[in-house]
Formats: sequence, C-alpha cells, structure tokens
Amino acid sequence: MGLASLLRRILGLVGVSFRRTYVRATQTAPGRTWLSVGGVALAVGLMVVVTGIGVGIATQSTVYSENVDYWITPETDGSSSALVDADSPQFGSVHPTAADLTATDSIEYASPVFQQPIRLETDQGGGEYVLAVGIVGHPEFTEIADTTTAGLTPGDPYYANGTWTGEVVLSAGAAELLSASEGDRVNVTRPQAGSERNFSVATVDPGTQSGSQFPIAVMQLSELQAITGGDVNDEAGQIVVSSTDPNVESMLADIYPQSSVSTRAGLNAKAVFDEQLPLALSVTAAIIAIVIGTLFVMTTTGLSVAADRGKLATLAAIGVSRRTRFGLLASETLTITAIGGLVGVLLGLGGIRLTNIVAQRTFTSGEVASTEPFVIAFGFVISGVIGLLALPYLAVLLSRVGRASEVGQ
Amino acid sequence: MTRYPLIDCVNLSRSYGRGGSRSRWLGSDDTETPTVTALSNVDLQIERGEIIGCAGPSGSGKSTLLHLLAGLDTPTTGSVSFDGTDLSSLSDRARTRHRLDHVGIVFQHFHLLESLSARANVALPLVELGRPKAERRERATELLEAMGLGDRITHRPTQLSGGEQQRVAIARALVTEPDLVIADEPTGELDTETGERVLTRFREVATELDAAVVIASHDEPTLAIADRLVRMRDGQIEDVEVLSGSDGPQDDSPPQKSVQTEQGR
Repeated sequence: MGLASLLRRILGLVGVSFRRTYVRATQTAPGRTWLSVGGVALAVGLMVVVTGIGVGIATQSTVYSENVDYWITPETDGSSSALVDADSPQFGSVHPTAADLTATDSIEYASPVFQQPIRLETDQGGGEYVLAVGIVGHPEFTEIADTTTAGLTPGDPYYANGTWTGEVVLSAGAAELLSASEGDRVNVTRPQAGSERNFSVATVDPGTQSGSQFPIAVMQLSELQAITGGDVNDEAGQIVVSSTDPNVESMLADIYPQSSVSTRAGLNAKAVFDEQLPLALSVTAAIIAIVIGTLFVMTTTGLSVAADRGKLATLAAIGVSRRTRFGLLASETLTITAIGGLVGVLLGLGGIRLTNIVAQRTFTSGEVASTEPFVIAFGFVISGVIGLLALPYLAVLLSRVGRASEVGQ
Repeated sequence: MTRYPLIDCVNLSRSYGRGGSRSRWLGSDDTETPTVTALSNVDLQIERGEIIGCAGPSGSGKSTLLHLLAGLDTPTTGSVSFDGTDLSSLSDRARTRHRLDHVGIVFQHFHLLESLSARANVALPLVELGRPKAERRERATELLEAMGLGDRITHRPTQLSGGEQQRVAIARALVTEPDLVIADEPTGELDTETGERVLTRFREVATELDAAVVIASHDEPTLAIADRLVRMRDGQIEDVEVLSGSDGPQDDSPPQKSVQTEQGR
C-alpha cells in the first residue's frame, strides 16, 4: 500500500471513528460514553487540584513578579562562594551588578530584591511586623510580590546621590493592618534606624492581586539596607531581570558563582520540583489519577467492546483488518480520554478556585492553590497517558472477541 | 496455465462443539465435548459468472456453507479453494484481506453499523482499501441510487426500513466489485418489484464483473435467478439442479427446472 493510500485510509478511519464516537455519545450509548469521560475527568480534575495545591505550597515562599522574566537566586547548599551569608545566602554588591545589567542592550531593567521583616508604627501608635521588600525602582518595574511599585522614585536615589526619599508602598494587607493610608507617616523600629530615617506612605496598593493581602512594604533598596544593616555588603537575596532575549539566561548564570537562573515559565515548575512535599503531592496525585483513570477507561472500554462485538465481527467479515479495527477503537478511546482530560482540567480549575475561596474564608488570606499553565498541560498529558495505557487491554480484548466467524451468532 | 474453478469445495465438513464441561482451569481437559455436524462431505465447484442458488430448510447447513465459501470460517475437514488457493492455508489476516479484495457478503440480518450513514456504511470497505474520499462517496452514492436509495444516502440504518437496510447491505457487498458475492436471504425484506431489481443487479454483477454469486434463500422466485440450484438437507447436498431460463427476472416466463440433477459439478 502506497503512502498516499495509507494516509487516505488513516484519515478515513479517523473520520469513521469521530462519527461513531459522536453518535455513541449523543444517541446510541450516551451513558457508557459519558461514564468514561466522567471517570477520566474526575481523576484528572482531582489531580489538577492536588497539583495546584502543591504548586501553591511551593511558590508561597518565592517573591516574584509577573513583569520580570529572570530570577537570579543563590544556591542554598554551597560550601564556599562569594555570597554573603545573612540568614539565608545573599548576593553582595548588588547595586553595581544590577546597574551593569540594566546598561546591557538586551536587558530592559534589572533590580536586586532584598527582603527583611521590619516593625512599622504609625503616629497613632501600635506597631506591626511586615515583610519589607527593597528594590531599585524602574518605570517598567511596576509590581513586586503582587504589590505595586508606583510611588517609588526610580533609580534608588539614596544609593545614587544620598537623597533619602522615605517612600514606602504598602500592600492592601499592610495598610489595613496598620490602619495607614497614603501620605501617613510610618516609623521603623529597628536597631539600625536613626532618628532621621523617616518614612511616609507613598501609595497603598489597591489589593487587586491575591498577594497584596499579605502585609508587605515595598521601599527603596538602599534605604531598607540602611535600616537593616544590609548596606555593609550591599546585599540582596535575588536579582530580577526583565528581558525578551533568550540568550540573556546564560549570561546571567555567569554573574555570580553558585547561583541559579530561573525563567518565568520555569520558575513555578522548578519550585515544585525543588520542594519535596509539593513534588510528592504532585507525583502521588498523578499516579493515582493514572491508575484510577486507566482502570475506569479499561472497564468501560471492555463493556463497549462486549456490546460492540457484533459490529466488530461485521467489520472483520467485510474485510476490515484487525489493525484497522484496533485503530478505530483506539482512536475512539483516545478521543474519549481527551474529552475527559478537557473536562477534568476545567473541573480541576473550578476545584482550585473553590479551594482558594474556602481557604480564604477560613484560615488564610492568600491563595493555597495555584493555576499555572503547566498544571493545565499536566492534566492533558495525564489524560493522554490514561488513554495510551488502556490500549494494550483493548488489543487483548480485540484478539478474543469480534472475530469474523462470530458474525451472525 | 491451469484454469481453476473460482470456488472448489472438496469433502467439506464443519462440526461445532456444544461447550460441554471442558475447563482447562479445573483440569478437565480430557472431557469429551459433544459436537454437532453442521456440514458433512460437501463437494461443490462454482465458476465465474455463475449464480448458485442454495435452498433447504433451517438447519440444513446453508449458512455454514456460505460462511465457509466466504472465508469467514474454516472447515473441520476438507477444503475450500478460491481460484486455486486453499483458504484454510491462509492466516486469519490473509483471509480478512481475501474477503476485502474478493468477496462481498450480504448478511441475513444486514449487520450495518448504526452510527454511520447509509453512504458511509457502503463506503466502509473502500476506506480500508485506501481509496480517495471523492471516489468513495461517488461509488457509494452510485450504488445506493442503483438500489433506489438515492434519497436515503445520509440516513442512518435506524432511520431506514428493513427493506432499505437490506439494499444498503447489498450495495456494501458490491462496492468493491468482488469476484464472489455471498447473499443470505437477500430479498427477505423486499417487495416483489424491489426484489427483482436486486436480482437483476446480481445478474449484472455476474455478467459484467465475471463474478460468482451464491444466494441462500427459502424463496423459490428468488432462487429462480440461479443457474444451478443446490438443495441441502441435514448438512449435505441433496441434489443440484441446473435451471434453464436462468436469466431469471430478465425473462417474462417463469424459470423451468431442468431434469438434469447432479452432485456438485
């Protein structure tokens, strides 16, 4: 058989398969068809929810922004490096490094990110601990940790020319906690804070993103370093970089020894694989989904083959080869599992949303489950695996039933 | 070059087990399974261009013979040769391909795929043959129109009457232009006029394609189209009658049975 003929045969087969699947789903066997779809959907949906929770757990400790593309972070298990240790490994000399990066043509901007817990007080009294995040402002660097950077003077003036700005941007959660609003003075209670180090609220984040519910204060990097002692080594825990040039990644990897570079697409997946609990959750969910989904599809496929044995025998009798009959059933099974995967992903996304709503109304203000693109892709991959794993059973069934000699029996 | 008959059945027998108590799991392999003999020592030759009628009461072995001729089943003893090739020597895959390439089968109960339209049912063997879609559609439409179903091509079997389904099944059997057409009660659901049209088509197939047609039926007018009439009883050929006026429906006069009686040919 020539290639063109084979191609026509396969296309014709797929067409027949789709027609059979459609008619079975809508008319001749809707119950059995939707039971298969439902079984796969349930397995995939649960897996998407559990994986989403795993990703949520893995990414909760990561300060990141949707408008940067690369993160340079210290490797946590290095025995000797140029890194300056402060609680967790920190980079040193971050201002000149970030300035050099920003001066590079292929990079839009780069900013160190320095995090420290600080205690803020308003003039009305009553102090609260918040997570202070220090950055070097840039017009394009519009948010960090789900909190806006609007209100911060670009270029970190205190480092550049010694002008103290005292600008603080409060997240919605921090503003609520401190009962502070735009223009209010806030005082920092830290041993290193001198009397002249005054701060005022430049902006209060509107709280449209979930992370803004956490108490976060964004300020100029050098000013945060000054009040926490980080200015001695000019330190920061990570450097974020905005660039559309994929070649930048290798250059960033060479800036600091024992550092790693994550891309926006890879960060959350990496976070899952770096953290043991989320990884265990995801792998367990995937295995359970595959086992349950495959058993479900195998059972319903077995019922379908038993019900269709007369039709399969007819196909054999009129000269349709076993390979073609297998292809017909296989493409029907894969179509059903693909639909199940789609429904499962939608169910899973709904489940993640429901989980977050329930979590936010009971024990947390943030999201506990995350809907990342790779979680959705993972759902489709798992449904495909379920379909593929059911195929050998289908082949065994087909070798036992639907023979030409059965026609008319 | 040796010229073989299209079909050559030699000492053909087929027995079936009745199940009994055979169970290899329980270690009772030695239990003798009762059998029933559906066909016994049949010798029959069929030439190209010939129409064979097959008559006999229920259980006489007609359907078993048809299944063996079509290569749907294999004999317990004896052989069925198609154009000199013993079908029993072919693998299951090769027999399937043989049916696709050489045999068209009209089942008594039609066995159409209910999820496909009439045209898709007819075109199905052409899909397996890898024919272009346009050719499949054209050929299937042409045959359905010839069967008087031009306005039913997009209907599914459940939307067709029994007679219409039967004609779809006949069109499917003819779509590959087979060398051998096997038809089990092909006019059982048809009115007289439509039945005659179908039988005329069979005669055209036999003449134009030089194909052999084997028709099993209880209906004497249907069998009258045959060139030879094989009468069966208790799994054996009782006699073979050569019918004169075998042009069947094309003649105005009813077919006359000849006095010639033979066993096989």
